[in-house]
Amino acid sequence: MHLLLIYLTVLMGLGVGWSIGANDAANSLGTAVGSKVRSLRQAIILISVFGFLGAFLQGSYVVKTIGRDIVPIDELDKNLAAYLALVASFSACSWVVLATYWKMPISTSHSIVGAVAGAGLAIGAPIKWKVLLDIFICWIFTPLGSAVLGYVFYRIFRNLFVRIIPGKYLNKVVSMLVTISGCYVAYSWGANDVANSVGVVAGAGILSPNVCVILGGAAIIVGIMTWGYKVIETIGSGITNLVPIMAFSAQLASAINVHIYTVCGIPVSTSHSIVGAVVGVGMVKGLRVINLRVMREIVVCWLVTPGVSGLMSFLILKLIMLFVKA
Amino acid sequence: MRETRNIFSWLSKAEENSIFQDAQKHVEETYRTVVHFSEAVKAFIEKDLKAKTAAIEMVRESEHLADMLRLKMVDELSESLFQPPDREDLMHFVLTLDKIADWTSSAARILGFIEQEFPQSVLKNMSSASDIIISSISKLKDAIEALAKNNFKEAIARYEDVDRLEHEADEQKKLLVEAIIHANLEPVGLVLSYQLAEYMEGITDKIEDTAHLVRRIAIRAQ
Repeated sequence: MHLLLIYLTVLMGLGVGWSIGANDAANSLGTAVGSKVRSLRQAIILISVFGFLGAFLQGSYVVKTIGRDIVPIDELDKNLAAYLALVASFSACSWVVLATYWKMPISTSHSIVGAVAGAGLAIGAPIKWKVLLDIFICWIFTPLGSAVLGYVFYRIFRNLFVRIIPGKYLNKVVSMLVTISGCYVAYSWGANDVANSVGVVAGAGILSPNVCVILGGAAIIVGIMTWGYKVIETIGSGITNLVPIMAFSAQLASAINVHIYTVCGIPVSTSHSIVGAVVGVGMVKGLRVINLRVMREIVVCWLVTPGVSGLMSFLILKLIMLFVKA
Repeated sequence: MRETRNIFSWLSKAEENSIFQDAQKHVEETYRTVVHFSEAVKAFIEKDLKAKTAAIEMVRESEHLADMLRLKMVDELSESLFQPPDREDLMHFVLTLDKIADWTSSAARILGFIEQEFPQSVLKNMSSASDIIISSISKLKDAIEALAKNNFKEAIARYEDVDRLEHEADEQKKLLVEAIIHANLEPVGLVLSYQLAEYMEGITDKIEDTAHLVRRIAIRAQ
């Protein structure tokens, strides 16, 4: 296997990891910063620690799915596997960069799954269509499941806390719960999303799964520290109109939802999950969460992503194979 | 650009864009309000009482529609769970924009009360004041369209046009008041014409206030 190929593949993967840390870290403790429960510095530290823990302790479940269960990359010829890994990483990374430039809220999970499948098709590798179908179904249920959980949790907690917690401790307890649930969101996010950056690297046998999750987790932390803090600051400036109990309910719902999928090895969008949870919480109060015009745009982004990244990796790998064969 | 891949930031930005699209409709309706008022002024100058009454009625209808749009935007800004980053500015913007239609409607009401014939000097200055108002609202409309398309330089340039026209409106009001003073009008006519001059100048003030907010939002967004 060429050394350059290995370096490029790992670099692409780390690039995706950086992007995940930069853009999605704010989904966990951004609302805590906004409601002044935690300072920006505290939030960065907590997200980094728990995000990395999630990646390190349970990241391997989804790494296995992306690395082996969609396309059996580990069963391919080593060079072919490396090319597949490189192209899939490159396509996912490119689509993420383009989406950022075009201001589209895409999912890195959808992007990498599409890219892996597209690359597998390009080289005629056996695609596990049943696994892909299962993943696709889970994508649909991700926001729905967290919306239901968010709805149920908020209905329960908004009355329960007021009844069982003495008034003078209520704010402190809720603040603590917002922090804990935010850390749980960061943990489940790290556990599920690290595979988006290093899943193919592990699948191609370039690095062991354990080293992969450590590197992926580190790339995510670098993303948080170099860019993610700005996004957290923006979220914290009052973008979400969530009072602490709503934030706690939404975060808990999203974290549980994503964690379940993580343990099952399914790569899902943590962004879709948190949005679903916030929608569920908002429905309890009868609030308008997302207007239909905006909803249409967001659904289009979600649907288009696996297709576009899949097509990109298919075409790029087909092109590369012409030169490699020659 | 940095925050727009984050889902919360994207949703809040999308809410903001949605509000701006509604603001454009509000500006269209406000523009129609001002245009109908201008038609009412022209009909008054041409001594066409029927056309004046019809135009004043159109002003009232347009102002009512603009009010409905304002209520919708305020509702979106207060109830949505994803708030635009510049929510306070946007709320201020919506409420200030609405004042243009309010003042135009008030000016039309005053015009409706005027039955006395005015000398040419007064009518000429009223016509000029009405033309300035139309130019000003057109520039504001352009500024909001530019802002909605993230064309911030254009939005700021249009603000400068509105600012210049507001100064012209101040000068025009002085000329109109001078003409009114020298017209030897009956007391009722004097009071009403002076009030009308105040309101017409006030309309350009409100347009300038709104354009100022557009400029502020554009500068922050850059």
